[in-house]
Amino acid sequence: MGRYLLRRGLAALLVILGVITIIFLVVRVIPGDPASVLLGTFATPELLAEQRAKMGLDRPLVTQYGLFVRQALLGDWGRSYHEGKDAFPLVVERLPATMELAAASIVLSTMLSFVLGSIAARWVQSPVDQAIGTLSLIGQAIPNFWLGLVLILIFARRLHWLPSFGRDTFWHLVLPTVTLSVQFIGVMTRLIRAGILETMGQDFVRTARAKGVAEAAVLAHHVYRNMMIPVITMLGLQLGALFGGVVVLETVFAWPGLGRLIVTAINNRDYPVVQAAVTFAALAVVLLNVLVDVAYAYLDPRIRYA
Amino acid sequence: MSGDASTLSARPAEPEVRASRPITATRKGRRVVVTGIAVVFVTLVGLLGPAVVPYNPLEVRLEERLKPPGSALSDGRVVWFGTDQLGRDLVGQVIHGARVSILVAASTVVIAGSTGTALGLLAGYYGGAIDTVLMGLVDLQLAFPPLLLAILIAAMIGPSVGNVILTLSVIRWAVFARLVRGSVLSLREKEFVEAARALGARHARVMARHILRNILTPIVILATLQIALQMLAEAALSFLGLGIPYPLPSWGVTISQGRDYLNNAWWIATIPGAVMTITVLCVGLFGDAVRDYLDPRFGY
Repeated sequence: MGRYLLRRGLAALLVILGVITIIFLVVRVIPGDPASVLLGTFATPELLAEQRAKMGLDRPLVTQYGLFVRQALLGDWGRSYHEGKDAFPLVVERLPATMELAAASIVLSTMLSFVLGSIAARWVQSPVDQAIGTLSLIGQAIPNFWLGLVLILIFARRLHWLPSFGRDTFWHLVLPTVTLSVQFIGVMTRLIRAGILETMGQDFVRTARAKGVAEAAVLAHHVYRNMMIPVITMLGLQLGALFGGVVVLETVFAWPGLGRLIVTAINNRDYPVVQAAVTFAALAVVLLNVLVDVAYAYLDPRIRYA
Repeated sequence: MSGDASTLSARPAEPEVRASRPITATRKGRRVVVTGIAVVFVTLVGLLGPAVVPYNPLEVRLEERLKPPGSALSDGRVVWFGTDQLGRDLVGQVIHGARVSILVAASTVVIAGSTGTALGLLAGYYGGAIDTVLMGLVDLQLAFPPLLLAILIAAMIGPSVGNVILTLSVIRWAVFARLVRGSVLSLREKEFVEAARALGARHARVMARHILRNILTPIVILATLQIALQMLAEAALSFLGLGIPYPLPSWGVTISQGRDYLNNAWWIATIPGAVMTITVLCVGLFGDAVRDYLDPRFGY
């Protein structure tokens, strides 16, 4: 396990460096001059040159990259143009809200997709299976920001059952979590159903049944344990999509997390905050992926020694 | 794909033609046809609709604002989807939105698909340093949440139709590159590739005529499945104000504006989204049908 942790940790570090590199490439290499953005309409050629020198933009790209990585690792993400505070603490402050929403959605959607996927696989090709299949396709096709608005319209504005925006009580978490989970459930249900069906056809399942293991035990000990690998892999891949969804939905539900910070900062042209917040959201995905992998390697020795 | 004599000829490896059985002979084939018709219909409405439904995004008719679906305007015209906060007909907006959505989704899949295919082909065929560098980039990009990357790029380059296409192409090439590289690796060592090389075919020719032709199926399948994803991504960007710039009609923009009128004009936000869901669903069903028809084992 120790060696696996080390290997996985090193891989994660590489990915983190990669994330920072992508941010650097997008921010510095795409046409457009951060210095002139910062100065806005006040830019004179002299001021611009001075600002560029101050930001290190007149140095070679490789030097800039080195500086960028160093500052990123030291937590120096520049100051918010808009709020006049350091970008880093602004972002850290927002992280818990986003993680709360993401975690709630992961839990809800994983549980529901297991139930739905198992039902569909148990009665495969039946009307129930087909209904679940259709629903999960629709779930993947619905634009989540629109679904959010529709749920707000129904449950908050018309029925007055749930609050429509903000982060205060448990009830505030319900609508955003459900909205965020719908797409995820669609993807995962199909995957889990396929995983169960594939594993059911394996020799070891037949053997287990032949030696008289009860069907429930066959499912729990033989089928589920063995179909988890593709499911966990997919879960990891979907985390990225989930975070994309969080960014959009936080705007819909006025949820005070990273996503809302990103959108507000973009509207204010507050680029240091945009950079820091996007980096953090991406890092959160990387770290969650590591957690998922490690948890699974702990449960399944085959992963550790692969 | 065995190394028999026919594959050694100058015109190699035509994709295996299924016996003359019509596509409608099987259930899977019929699904492709039915869903395909739905997709063609939506595309035609998007392309031709503007010619049929008069709609000017800049025309403001405040006296007709916030009319519910099905009501008649002062000139006797019936607005089936209602009007928005500026008195514009939502049918027109939805159709123009479909047009933008299809344009963006199709062009980004073509751009990302061909770039990714070319790079994946190079990486898989040559291996070595090219492979290491390109696949390193692919891994990096796949580790980055795609919509987040799109938001970052779009924020930096500003909203415009061209920029949306650029942004959404950038976030999807890696998926194609990885798929193509994997397929190339398994083909590269086949006898017919070796034979083509032995006959003196240059690398470019081998890649284009012998390898690419044999991996078109998974590429087509992936491309069809990606179109629905790109439609959703475009709408999300536009909803956040980072995609199609106002006043160009786009589903995301219309829904975002309807947000402020949820209490007194529910139709502005809900109807375009419902149309969009149905469209994306049709495209998704078509993608699934194509996958099941061409290769039942192909997983994405």
